[in-house]
Amino acid sequence: MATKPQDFIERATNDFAPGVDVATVDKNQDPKSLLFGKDVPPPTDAEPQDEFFKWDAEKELDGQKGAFYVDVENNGRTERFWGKTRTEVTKNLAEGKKHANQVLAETKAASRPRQPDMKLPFDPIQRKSPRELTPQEIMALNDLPPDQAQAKIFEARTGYSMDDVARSIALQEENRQQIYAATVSGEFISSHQIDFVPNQGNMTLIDSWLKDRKLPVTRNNLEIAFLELQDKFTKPVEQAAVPPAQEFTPPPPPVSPPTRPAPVASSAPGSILSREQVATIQSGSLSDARSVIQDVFRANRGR
Amino acid sequence: MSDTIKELNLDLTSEEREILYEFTRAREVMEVLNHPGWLHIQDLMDSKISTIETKYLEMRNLSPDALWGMHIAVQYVRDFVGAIKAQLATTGDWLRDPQAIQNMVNRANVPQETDLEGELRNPLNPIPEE
Repeated sequence: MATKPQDFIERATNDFAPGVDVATVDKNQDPKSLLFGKDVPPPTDAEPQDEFFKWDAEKELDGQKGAFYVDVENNGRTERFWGKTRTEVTKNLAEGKKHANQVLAETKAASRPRQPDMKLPFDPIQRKSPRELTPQEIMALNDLPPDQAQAKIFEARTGYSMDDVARSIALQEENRQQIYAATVSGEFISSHQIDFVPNQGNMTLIDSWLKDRKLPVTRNNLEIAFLELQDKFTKPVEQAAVPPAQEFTPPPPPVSPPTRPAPVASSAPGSILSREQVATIQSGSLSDARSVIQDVFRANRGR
Repeated sequence: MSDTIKELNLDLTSEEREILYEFTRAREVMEVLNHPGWLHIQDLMDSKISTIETKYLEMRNLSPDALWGMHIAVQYVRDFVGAIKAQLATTGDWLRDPQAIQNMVNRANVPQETDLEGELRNPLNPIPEE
């Protein structure tokens, strides 16, 4: 005997408690509002429910109730990515993957051993091995124009072509100029420590001033440029003798912890420093101040 | 010969040489602080610290423990720079006070406590009466 197929109402009420026979639904009832609470938006039809993206009806994201999430295993702990839609969860996952890639690349770059350079960043002038001309070559020289013959003899004897020699001399001159300019600039900067700030802007000003007038970099020219460009330089900042205290919040550690208590001035033996001596120690030149202290020590010990 | 001895401070006691060294250090540190380059050095230090902060504190997807570790590491660096700045700023403080200079110079003449043993009355170690 064929069993009667159950219709959908019978299937839906199979688990109902006894006493409820039929579940009645209004004819115009919206099925979405029937299945889910009004606050909780259902999964959209375009994205049917599956097991990967889980739905949490209680979670609140941006004031809206209900959110999707994905659990990802991460070394024994679970990382959870949230989103209002599955697409948003996927975007968050992709963002996480991007960061992981960055960290991975940095770790790899840090652990990779450095490769040695196999050649210099510029082409060195190659030297061929010097040799004697063969008799045949010497005979052939007679047929060449004199300048070519000379070049050939030079190259055979020295291993360098004449062009190489010319290039080498040009490079040497260039280097000499650069070294001289660097030395002179160093001297200039150290003698203008107080009235010149050697930042990039000021250095560029001087450089372009010299270039405009096609002047070489010499000490004298630098001084002239310095005087000419006084108005355009960035001036050194006037500052107080001691930086303001609020910049240095933590209390200072002692310079050197005293091994015994400081002596009281009145009871301490030794001569009393004169006002001039104190002034020299405070603001005289370092060597003068040192010699004042040395003299006081010697005077105290009767030497 | 005696000139050379004086030039090398060989006739000074180690205590006096130490005071002289401390004074020289204070003066030279003060000179560095008054040099315009010191501002640039401070700017450089601050920019390095902010680079370190960006590197360690803006790393994403860290476990809470790792994040905590990052914060501690950054705090170490901040403390180190703060301590250096404070040390430099206060090294020359005593030079501004004439009394402190006098005390520092007199420190060389104060006898060691061990030198006065038996000459001063010490209740913990009384001199036996004859």
